[in-house]
Amino acid sequence: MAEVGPGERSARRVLAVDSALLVVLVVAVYLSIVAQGGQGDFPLWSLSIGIFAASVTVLAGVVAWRVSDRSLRVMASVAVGGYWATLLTFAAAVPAEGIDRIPWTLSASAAAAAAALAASGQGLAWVTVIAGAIAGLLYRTLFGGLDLDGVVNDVQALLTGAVICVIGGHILSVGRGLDVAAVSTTAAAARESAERGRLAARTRAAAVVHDEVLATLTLAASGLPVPRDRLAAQAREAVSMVTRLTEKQAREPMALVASLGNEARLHGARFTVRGESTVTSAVAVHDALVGATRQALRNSRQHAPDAVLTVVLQQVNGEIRVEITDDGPGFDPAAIAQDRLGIRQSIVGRMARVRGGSAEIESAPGAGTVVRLLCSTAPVGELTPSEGRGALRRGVTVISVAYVVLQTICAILASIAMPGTWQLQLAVLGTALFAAEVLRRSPRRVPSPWRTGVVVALACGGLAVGATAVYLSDRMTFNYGTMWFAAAFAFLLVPLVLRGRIPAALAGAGVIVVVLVIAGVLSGAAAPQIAQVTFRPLVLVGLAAALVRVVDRMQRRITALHRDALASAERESWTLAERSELTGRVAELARTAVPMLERIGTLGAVTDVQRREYARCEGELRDGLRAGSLAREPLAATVAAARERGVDVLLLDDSDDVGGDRQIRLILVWMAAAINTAQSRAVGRLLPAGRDARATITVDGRHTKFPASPVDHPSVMSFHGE
Amino acid sequence: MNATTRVAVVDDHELVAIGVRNLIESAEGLVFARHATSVAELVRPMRDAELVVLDLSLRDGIHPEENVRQIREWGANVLVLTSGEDPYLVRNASRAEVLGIVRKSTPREALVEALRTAARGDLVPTTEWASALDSDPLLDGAPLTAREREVLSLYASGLGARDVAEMLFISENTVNDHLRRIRSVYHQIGRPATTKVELYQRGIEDGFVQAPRRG
Repeated sequence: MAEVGPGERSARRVLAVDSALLVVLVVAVYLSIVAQGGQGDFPLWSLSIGIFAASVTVLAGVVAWRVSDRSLRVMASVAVGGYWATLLTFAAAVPAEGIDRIPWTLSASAAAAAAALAASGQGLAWVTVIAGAIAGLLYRTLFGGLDLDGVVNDVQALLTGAVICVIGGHILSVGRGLDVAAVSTTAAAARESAERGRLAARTRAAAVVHDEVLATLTLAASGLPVPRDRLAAQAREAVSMVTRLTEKQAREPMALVASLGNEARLHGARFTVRGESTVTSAVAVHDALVGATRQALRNSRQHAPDAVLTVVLQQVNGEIRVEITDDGPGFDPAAIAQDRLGIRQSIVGRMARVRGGSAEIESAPGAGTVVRLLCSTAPVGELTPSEGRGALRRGVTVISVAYVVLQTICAILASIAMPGTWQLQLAVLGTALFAAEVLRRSPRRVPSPWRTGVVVALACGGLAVGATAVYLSDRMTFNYGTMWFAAAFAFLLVPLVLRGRIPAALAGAGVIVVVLVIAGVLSGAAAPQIAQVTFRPLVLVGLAAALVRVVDRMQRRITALHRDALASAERESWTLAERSELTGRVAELARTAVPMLERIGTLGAVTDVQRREYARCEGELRDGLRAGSLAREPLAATVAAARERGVDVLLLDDSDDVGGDRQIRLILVWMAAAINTAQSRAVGRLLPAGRDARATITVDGRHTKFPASPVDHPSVMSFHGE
Repeated sequence: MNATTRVAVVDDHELVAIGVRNLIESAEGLVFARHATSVAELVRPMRDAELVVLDLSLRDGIHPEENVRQIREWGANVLVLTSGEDPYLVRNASRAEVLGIVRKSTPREALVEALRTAARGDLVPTTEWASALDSDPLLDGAPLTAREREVLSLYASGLGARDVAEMLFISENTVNDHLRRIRSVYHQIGRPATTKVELYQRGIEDGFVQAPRRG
């Protein structure tokens, strides 16, 4: 058996305590009846089994919080076994001279059901409840007691047991849900902190490397007089640092956004992210998407070298969608041989191999090509709300149906047993069923105060009217059978408890108890008789309320844990994305700077052209830190060219947000045109929000603004060459 | 000041120190004092430099603000040298008393000019410095005049003091006065104030808040 979590363990303990309470109450009522001499003389061995079962149940409840889960389950099992033994051996225990009627406790299976839940689960509990009802009816037929009183008792016991099974089962499943939530929260937190640690380490490493490379290039490019051999040695050291770092990070996972962005850049495609930018995916999904995207981009580049390529990443409704589009000549997909490896294997096949993945290719001659990759995102751990609600609803349905059927049976039996009272029985049944229907029709889980009031009033009023009728009638005496509707009305309060109206339900139960006691006393019934009739409504509602409170507390904790797990997962994906961005930057560094560093490392004479090349590279690295949205094409190429001409170019992004993509593009084009004319110095800057301009460019002392208009209008173009 | 100024260099990279040293020795009126890899190593009981050229991000991870503070306490002026670090560090250093923040890749002549200016104890305003300040949200609520903000913004967009003066029809000296005042205001708001009373007192001290008068 799998490791039992604290949530499930607590649920079992609650059930064991519950079971013990029920036994104590049942025994108390039973003893009061025995004291009146109402039961036959059973042999000692039979009584011992009963006493043993009751004692073990009580003991389990008392020590529930002090013993291990295993011991508790053993004790609960023994208690259930004791109840079953009582049921099975009852026939043998009946004295030779016969008995008046079988004890009502025989079918009082609620305590055993709770113990069965603690011991094993809902299966054993249901079997136990049904066995109790069957045994009750069977032994009544055989040994006496098959009268209204007895049958009503068994029927209501069955319903009580069913309620315990459903609520108890719910507690167990909520407890398990709590454990799952706790485990996934812990896992998420661990992943998050691991990721954060990796990011911190990486940031430090990357910063050192970046610094080293930048310093070397700066020295190589600038006029700072330094010994050649020392510079060469530093360049070689920088190369080995970059290489070490790239090797190390090649083995680590990357965020989808960063990987796809990287692929797009390498193939000269435009990359756009729609929706949330922190798309996380399992490693398999990530690799498949990136691999398929790469293949699609490669195909496009191969067959349509001049086409405009775009990659769009989108996450909608738990589905990751990547679209690779080119406006090239296109092709007829049907004309491609099925076994052509490129598309079949690398795109469609690759996507088909991951769970929930698929790919489709749309193309026609002259219409370009669209490759669509789809993948359903696996649920984040087991963070879906526990399946307990569904099971609870099914259980409540079962109880509702059983309620209607069993109360109808009781009403019919009462009409038969007490001829001439069918109008009363029908009226009482009608009232109870009407109240149940009123509650069932509640549009919300928690019924409105008005509806709650109606249900409670119908339950209490119905009972009061019924009890008055019984009192006034000379054909009916106060007992469990004639007062069958007491339990029927009390049962109405249970769904009220389950639907979150606990105080109203408890108040209703209080009224019911008062009415029953008054009716009993006025009818001159014996105290044990009154207790027996009052017992079930009281226990039922009280217990349901207590259990629902426990479940509520557990569920609040689950919600809190889920929230934590979600927050952790979110932070983790941010960190991952951040680290991936860093990885991309280091990869870029390796691509652009390393060849230059290697040349510096060879100690050859430095020409002016080379010096300017170093300056360009140094400038690009600097842009990576400070140029933000400006470090993009088409500006980047112009800036590189200007730097190679010997122009000192400085790009500064001081804007708080990236802003509209279109406007940024216009600014880039506008800046590029200005920088093209630069002789010695150019400073391009994106301004913070709220200024009179969006951007400025200063070329060789000439200053121009890009106006802060919310829409991009063509007048912007007039700034060209100003 | 016609006397020579002794210049020390604090940088992780010895090579940078060598480069700066050669630069210093080629400039009139400057002599190279010493190279240290950290401020702790630099600061000795006997001050042997009037100007310290400080690398913005040293590997010991100590914030520039703290480094600058220590050097100022030691009694030397500070000129910060950067490879192009993020504006956060630049602002951090600017809140302390630095004469300027200069990029290492600045052309040689400009670098020498910056060193000589700093050696005189004058402000060396650069585009990077100005843009880091100009985009700092902290400055939004600072008591700067509209003209001062304009000067800062123009400076941050890459213009020199002469260009700014021409654009605003004022003298170059006035531009420099504005920049000095901006620097001092920024320095003030960067100082941590622990209590409201202290903040108020400082406001009076700095002339931002009018002192209560009797009568």
